[in-house]
Amino acid sequence: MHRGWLGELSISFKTKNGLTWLDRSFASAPLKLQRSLYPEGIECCHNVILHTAGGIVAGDRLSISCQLDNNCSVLITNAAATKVYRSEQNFAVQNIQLVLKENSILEWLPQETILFAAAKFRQNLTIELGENALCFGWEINRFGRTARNEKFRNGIWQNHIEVWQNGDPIWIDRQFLVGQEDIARSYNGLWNQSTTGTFWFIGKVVTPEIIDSLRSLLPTDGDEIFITRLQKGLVCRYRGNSTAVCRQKFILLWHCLREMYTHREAHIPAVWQI
Amino acid sequence: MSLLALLQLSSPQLPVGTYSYSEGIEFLVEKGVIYDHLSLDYWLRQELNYGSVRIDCGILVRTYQNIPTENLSKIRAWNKWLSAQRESEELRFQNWQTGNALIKLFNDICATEKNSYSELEPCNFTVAFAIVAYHWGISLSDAVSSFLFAWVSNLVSAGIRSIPIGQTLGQKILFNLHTEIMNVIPTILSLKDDELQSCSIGLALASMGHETQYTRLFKS
Repeated sequence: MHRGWLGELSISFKTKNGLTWLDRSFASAPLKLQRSLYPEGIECCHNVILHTAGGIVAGDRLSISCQLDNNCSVLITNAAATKVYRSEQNFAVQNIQLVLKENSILEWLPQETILFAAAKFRQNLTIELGENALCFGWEINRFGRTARNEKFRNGIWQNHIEVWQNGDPIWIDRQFLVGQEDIARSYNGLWNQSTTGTFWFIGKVVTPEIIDSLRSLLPTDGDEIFITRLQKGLVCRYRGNSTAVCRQKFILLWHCLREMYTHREAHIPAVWQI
Repeated sequence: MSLLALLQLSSPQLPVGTYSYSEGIEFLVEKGVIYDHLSLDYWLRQELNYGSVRIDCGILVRTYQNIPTENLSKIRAWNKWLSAQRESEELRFQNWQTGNALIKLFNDICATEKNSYSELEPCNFTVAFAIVAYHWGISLSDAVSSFLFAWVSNLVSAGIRSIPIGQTLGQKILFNLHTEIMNVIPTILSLKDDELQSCSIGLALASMGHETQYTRLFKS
């Protein structure tokens, strides 16, 4: 019987004279970090996390921690969609801790997570924000392998996101979804859709005018996608039938906010192959 | 005594403004998701069983339990936690406006200098409700059931006005939900901190959508 991986990835970044680099890195199977890239120049250090086992199974406990020193600028994504396989009983757990020191900028942009029917997955994502630090991020989840007409029955998905600054919570998002008929169908739950997504930008107060201009970027084509203000940032939610469409829409928001708050041009990581 | 206090606290006539908010229902009516008494009943039932109101009750419990020891820093922390948890700016403002109004009302009626709680501002409605319930001698489980009762009756009233449906059908929904409310209370009372979670994607979308809805009866 598979006992589950105890995978760990622990990385930290430093910066000097405008260059941000990977200072320390520890990885244990199945997690790995590819060599850092600088497709936009030395300022922003791009990194790709790799899951070498092809997917997450019951009993896996993965932990990722990432620390950005003052003024660092880092973009992190992963090499492929994350698959979470079915489980009779045991949960797979992934804990992610992101620590952003003063004035640092993190773009946390993982590819989608695909939850197979009967998958049991718990993820805790905690972000600690230093003064003037900014975090752009998203989560895109597909419930069931819809290409095979699979539904997320008997699954349990728990996704807790918490953002703290100076000991105060600035955003708490505690999502919980059980794979059962009424939740899959009702508007309260999935509304017969397969995909949900959450995009966030956090660390600075966003004016209502900026929210309006972001709203006008989003096409009204039937998918549900809405934006609201957080006390220090914003959050956008998507519910529809396509992880690709969800990502496309989030990219629009990300690029616009990136330009506005970091004066960096739009960029698409090559590993996404889109 | 405490029965009368409980009736007063959960009365729709409590002048704190909850009447002006629909918590997404107005948006759902425009979208055609809620269109009669059955669809309204179903929405409320699902929210009671899986929705964000469970988190509210969890915070009500935690606030209430910290009052006798005067652990204000804990109450303050849960109040901030709840502000950070709200699914939309609209819901956050609603909770703050009604919560501040309830604390002010409490102070006007019966506070002493020692328990004015004014330093909690902005105070979430849930936190204010727990404070008033405690000081008015209402038991914890009665506080939770009357909180849920007040929540359901306010949203039924929002449904009556926005669908619209008749008052009698509204009363029928409310009456039919008594059992559901009582059934969820034991679970809510036993939630651990890391079980304060909900399936609230629908509420989040409806409430965010309501912020930009073109014509609105209800506040944003």
